[in-house]
Amino acid sequence: MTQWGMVMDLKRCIGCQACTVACMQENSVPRGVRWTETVSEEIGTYPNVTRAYVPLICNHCEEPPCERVCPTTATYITAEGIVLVDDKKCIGCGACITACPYKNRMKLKAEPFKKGLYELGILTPFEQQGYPRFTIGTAVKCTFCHERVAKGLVPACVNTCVAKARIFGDLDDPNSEVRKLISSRKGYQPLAELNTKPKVFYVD
Amino acid sequence: MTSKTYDIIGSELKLGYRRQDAWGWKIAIAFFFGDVGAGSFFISAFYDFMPGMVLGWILTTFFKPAALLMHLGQPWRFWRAVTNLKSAWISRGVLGAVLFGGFGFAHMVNLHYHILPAFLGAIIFFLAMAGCFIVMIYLGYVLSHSPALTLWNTGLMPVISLTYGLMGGVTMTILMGYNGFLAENLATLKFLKGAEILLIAGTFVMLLSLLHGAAYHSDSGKVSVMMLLKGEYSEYFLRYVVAVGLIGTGLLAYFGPVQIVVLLVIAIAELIGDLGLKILLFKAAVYAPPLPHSRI
Repeated sequence: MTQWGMVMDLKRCIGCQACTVACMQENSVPRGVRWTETVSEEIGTYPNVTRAYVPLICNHCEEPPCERVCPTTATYITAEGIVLVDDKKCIGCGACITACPYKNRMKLKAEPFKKGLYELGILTPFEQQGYPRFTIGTAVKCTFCHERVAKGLVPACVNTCVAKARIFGDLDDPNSEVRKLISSRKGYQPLAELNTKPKVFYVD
Repeated sequence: MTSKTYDIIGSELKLGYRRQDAWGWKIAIAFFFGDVGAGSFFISAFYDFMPGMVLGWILTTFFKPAALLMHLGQPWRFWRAVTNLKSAWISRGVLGAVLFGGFGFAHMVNLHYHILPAFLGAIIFFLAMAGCFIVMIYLGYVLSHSPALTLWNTGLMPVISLTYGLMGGVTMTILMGYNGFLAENLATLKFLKGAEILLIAGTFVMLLSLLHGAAYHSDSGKVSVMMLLKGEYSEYFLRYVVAVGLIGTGLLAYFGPVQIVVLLVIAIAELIGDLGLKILLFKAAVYAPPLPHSRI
């Protein structure tokens, strides 16, 4: 059975935030909501200083705390291992948001939907076509672009990455690029000690 | 691996400790009403003390849900919150609250009008108390289910929730019953005063253990504890939760005269400490950086 996962190559990431923008465009997420982003870290002290970039995204954990604590079963895991939220069931209690160790979930506030991207109280055509898919007050998160993946495409952030720092593939396939990268470059998971078994790996 | 200290960050694109901001004062107030209400009912029910039971039932059945509904993003779907009993403590807590609301009311009606046979009355009493107990402890389990927030992720959390509930319950029962059933029953008053002091001392030790455990468990736990003891929330935590809510109430309960004014001051101080702790637990919780100490 296919289990989708992602590898973040920290040696390749240049921190351009193209992934962040591509995600916002693909999913029409409102202002203030980021399903993926690249954060930076300064390492060392002058004159031996460098900056590292760390792309962050929902880890679509095998044992997600967000799913366990959801009182309405709105959070569920698909057969292909993608963790999704059913906004018809979500009551917006925020339990999943506090339980996610990676802080990769957020609740949709009403204000950005009213004021729009430019805070003028007018929605652009882009927003008008995108916003109806959301339910205000519910929890949202990265979906691994599951509609694109179902069509045989890769997630928008992977597609747009100029440095090929994001690699998407089947973790159950020993010949997939993600599996080869994880084994050859000793891939590791974020906060692995919490035993959430993330399906996003990092290599450096 | 680089040894490094991270900052507490907001929405900026930096690696660092991030604040828990999904839950705030509305949830804190809801659980405060739940704890104090359930505690008042629980203690009062042992003495068939109706005013204490009514107060506890109203706080838990009306005030707490009102605050929770204010917090929910989709409040009209609230009924769905009971659908994941298998793993979600919120669902179990809601079930407990429903049990408590229904059977607690039935118990009070039965106590007043004596309409049910003794056996059936005992079953209703047991179910009401079971629901009441669940309401008192489930916040602790809800919080301890968050693996990344070290301040919350401890087995002590349900016990602290329980002791605060019982402490509030004993304090309210003494305050409300002082000119009532306790005026004629000095042995019970003495017992409740002793229980109050023991609960305050126990809660103090548990709070110390919570901070101690969090500080030595992880870096993010240490950051949270430092926020409470030395950082931006220290003034509120040390002054209101520790000095007023525990030390002040403990000293007054032990050395103070048993007078209505003193009992009122104890109750107010204890409730300030209880609410203060709940708000600060939400404020001071921080997430660890997802990929600390980059190895690049």
